[in-house]
Parts: sequence; structure tokens; C-alpha cells
Amino acid sequence: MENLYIEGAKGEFYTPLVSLTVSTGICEVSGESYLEYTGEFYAQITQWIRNYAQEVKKGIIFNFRLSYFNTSSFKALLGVLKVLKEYRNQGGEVDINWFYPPDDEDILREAQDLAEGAAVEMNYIEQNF
Amino acid sequence: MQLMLPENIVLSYKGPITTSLISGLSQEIQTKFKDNPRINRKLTSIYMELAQNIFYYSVEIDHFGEDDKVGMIIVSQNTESFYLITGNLIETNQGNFLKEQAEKINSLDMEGLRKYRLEIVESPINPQSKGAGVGLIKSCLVSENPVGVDIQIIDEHLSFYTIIIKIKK
Repeated sequence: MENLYIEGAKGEFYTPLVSLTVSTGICEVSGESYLEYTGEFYAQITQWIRNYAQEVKKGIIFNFRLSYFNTSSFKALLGVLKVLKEYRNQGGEVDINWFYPPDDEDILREAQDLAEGAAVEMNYIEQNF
Repeated sequence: MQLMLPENIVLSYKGPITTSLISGLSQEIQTKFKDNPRINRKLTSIYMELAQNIFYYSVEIDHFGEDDKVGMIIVSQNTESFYLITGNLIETNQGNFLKEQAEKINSLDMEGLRKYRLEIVESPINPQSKGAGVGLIKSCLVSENPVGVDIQIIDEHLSFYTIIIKIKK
């Protein structure tokens, strides 16, 4: 199984940086998320996690470091968290860290709602990025 | 609802709403408000939702070139608040639904709104929807104010749909 790496970019749409690493289980989604084909984009991430859970079966540390995401991305991120929750339920060791910019209560609230929607626990960490 | 005319226009646009226009105006807002991170963040995030709403749902089409959707976007201010105002044509038969949607959103407190958003996002009904309503809920949460919605019926087919979001300075 291979790493998934997608370079972040900001142009007509905003592509978050995605870096999912097989050897360490360290995963990162960061930057801004406003995409033309949101469902397809995030499906790559959920598929990678499912493959990792089947083939590698080791721990995952998933770091979200998003400064902006639109409503379609909210829905897609909920899907990612649900798949992480699924792996945790199967016995996978899954740590989820949600980094948010200082004083950005709006994005913290969205993150908390995502966690509630996916019924998953995660750590919230205020950090400059 | 009586439309209050903005006292001081920060930005005003009417015309085709394309994806490059959406990101371009977003840059413009971020440049104008770079010294006020809180307003910058809130305005940009609400603007993105409402601009995308026009992009998906306006029924006015500019037939010059690419058949782009047409809409209006205004940022204005008075001494106390900033306002983000969007407008676009809708089908008149959608008017009642949109009014009821705004009433429902304004009837809920913050906790209720957050639950309602999750309900809509998870709802299997209308999978074609790009999230209509969710953008308005987000605007209400981020602005911490009720959403203002006005619908002017033009004729039996077309109405003009205006959304006003207030953000306290």
C-alpha cells in the first residue's frame, strides 16, 4: 500500500494538503478546503484509511489543521471521522487531533459538531499555523 | 421585512458569479479586512457560503459566453456592524420554502442550530442538494445574529431573494 500525498493549493478552488503515511500511520489534512469535487476528493482519504485498516492494521494519528472549510467539506470531513471511528471500533488505535487557530471559536465549534456527528472523541489543540 | 439601505458600501458586485469570481472577491475581502482578523474570518466564511449558494441556485443566467449564474453581492457597514448582502433570482414557487427555512433557523438557539445542521447534513433526502440551507445555518452561527431574508415577487415565475447577514463590529 502506498502513501497518499496531495499538495495544497489555493487558486480558483482551495485544495488542502493531504499527507497520509503508511510507515508511521501519521496523517495530516491541512490548509483550506473548498473544492470542485469535494466528495471524490475526500473519498481518496476514506479509501486510504479503510485499506490501511485492512492491510497495515497499525495505529493512526490523524491531525487536522484546517483554517477554513466550506459546507460541502464539512459533510466530507464527517465521513472521514466516521471511517476513523469505524477503525477504532474494530480495535484500531486511532488518535485524532484537531488543531485550530487561536481565538477562532467558529472553527472550533464546527470541529466539535463534526465530532458529535461522528460520535468520536478527539483532542482540540489551539495552535498558530 | 424592510430592507435597510447600507450606509457605507465596502464592496458591491452584480453580474455573473463564476468560480474564479468567487475566489477573486474572497481575496478582495481578505485584503480589505486584513487588519481585523475576527471580522475578516467571519465575513470571508459567510461570503463563501452565500456566494456558492448563488452559484448553485440562482435562476438568472447570463447567456453571454458560458451561461453563468447571475447574482449580487454587497458588503457594507454602519458604525456598529458589517453587513453581507446577497441577492439573486429564484422561482416564485420556491419563495415560501425559503422563507420558512429562514424562520426555522431564526427560531433556534445556537445549540439547536448546531443540532439542526447535523440533522440536515446527515439527511438522506435530496442527495442532489449541494447543502442548501446549511450555508444559511453556518452564516447564522458565525454571525451570531438572525438571518434576514426578503423575497420580492416579480411575477408568477420569478422572485428576487435577498439575504442579509449582520456581523457586530
